[in-house]
Amino acid sequence: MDPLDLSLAVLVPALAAGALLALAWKPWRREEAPDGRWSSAPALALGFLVGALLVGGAPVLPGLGGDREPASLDWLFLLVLVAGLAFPFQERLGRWRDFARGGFAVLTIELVLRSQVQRWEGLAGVGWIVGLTALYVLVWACLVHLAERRSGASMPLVAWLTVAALATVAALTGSARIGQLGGGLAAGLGAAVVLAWWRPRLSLGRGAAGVVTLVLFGLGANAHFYSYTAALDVLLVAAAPACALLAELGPLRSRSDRGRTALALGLAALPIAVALVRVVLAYEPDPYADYY
Amino acid sequence: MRPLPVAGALALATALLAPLAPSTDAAAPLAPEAVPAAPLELSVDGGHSSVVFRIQHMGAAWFYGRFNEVSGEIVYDEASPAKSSVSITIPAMSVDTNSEKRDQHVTSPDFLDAKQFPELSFESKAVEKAGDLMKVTGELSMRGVKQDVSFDIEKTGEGKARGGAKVVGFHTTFTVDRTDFGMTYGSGGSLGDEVELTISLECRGR
Repeated sequence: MDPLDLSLAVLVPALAAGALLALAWKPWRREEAPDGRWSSAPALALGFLVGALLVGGAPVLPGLGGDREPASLDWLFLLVLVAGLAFPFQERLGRWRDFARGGFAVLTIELVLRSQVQRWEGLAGVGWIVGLTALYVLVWACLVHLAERRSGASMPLVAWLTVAALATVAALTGSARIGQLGGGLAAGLGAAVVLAWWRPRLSLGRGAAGVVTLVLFGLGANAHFYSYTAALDVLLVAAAPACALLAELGPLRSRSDRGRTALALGLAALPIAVALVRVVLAYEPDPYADYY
Repeated sequence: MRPLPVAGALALATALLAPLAPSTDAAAPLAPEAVPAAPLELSVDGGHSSVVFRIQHMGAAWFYGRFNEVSGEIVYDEASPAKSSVSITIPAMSVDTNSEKRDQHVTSPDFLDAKQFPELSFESKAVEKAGDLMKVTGELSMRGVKQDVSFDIEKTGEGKARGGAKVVGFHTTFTVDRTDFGMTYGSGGSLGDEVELTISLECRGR
């Protein structure tokens, strides 16, 4: 992609996600503003999907690809589409919600890592699936807690930092495509940050955490299993939401709202900084890379 | 009584047996070229075969790379090319562009997506004679995408291996559009879309 196309692949998702969030929250109204939480998941999904279309073109959907079966990133596109539409209603599942999240995590692993799952055998295979499911659910739970405990820019900032870091790490360790795909969601989250800064009552609840987790997992899994990103770097980035959650615990909770946001960001930035330093130190530009 | 001379005896025997002999046409010996040769069942000798590709960089020079491994089976019927078949498999991770970092990039999801799609393969659907060449049509599978392609194969020569097995050489060059296989990275920018593949196979009789 040339720089103009790349800019569009960031700008258009930001505008699309921002427009939907703005329509739902109507931030220009100072009073009697509607509760636009329903728009969080669709807006972030829209940002990712628009970015993915601009970066990679139309995906192959099951049964519609002719001689081609959907690949990992095609499945991710479809899952994000489903998540954007369905996740706003997950509260209706009541006590079954957590089971549904676990089931969705397993389904995501099966579809996004299909060719890898087929190569795993025996106990090692079970171990991989259980471990990845646990990691998936843990990151999801951390983002949900952040979204539920805090309104305003805190959760979108942490999510933006995490997604942008994963995109950077993936792009520097093998696949520019994975990095560009992360850019779409990061752009959508950027729009949410701006709106939340303007009107702190904006909250990315009701499924937004699920969309962010899905994209983080899909791109992180692609970066490690199908490209050359080290597992440790993906895990360090994935640890950022859990670190941010520490700002909500114990004596740290008593700080001011802005102070807690700054602390959450700082804590989230710690593992990300380690991953970025590792990746940058290991980066060896080749003469050929000057042309890409 | 004097014994019959040998020539006389043969003449007498011929005269007596002549009515029982088959017609002259049927008695003519078969011409050697009329005996159809059996189709050759061949295996690709990866150690003596080459798969090379080239792609234009920055609209300037042709950049060459290769795949270091290839395997496959060929049924070669010189008399009836339609009975021939070609099956070739190339491990995507065997790509070699003379730069380890670039090999990583070429095998990443930006290009071959080799960990998700470990093999490039070709299966022929039809083979026909095209002058001195064979025209092969079949399905090329790369990065999970299957596309029909057509190319001419030249038989470059044949010989005998040490164990006596027949050795036959084939050569072909054809072009594919990488974007047809989902490889859009750098398209319209630093890298050309057309990739020219040259495949030279040495095959041994099974």
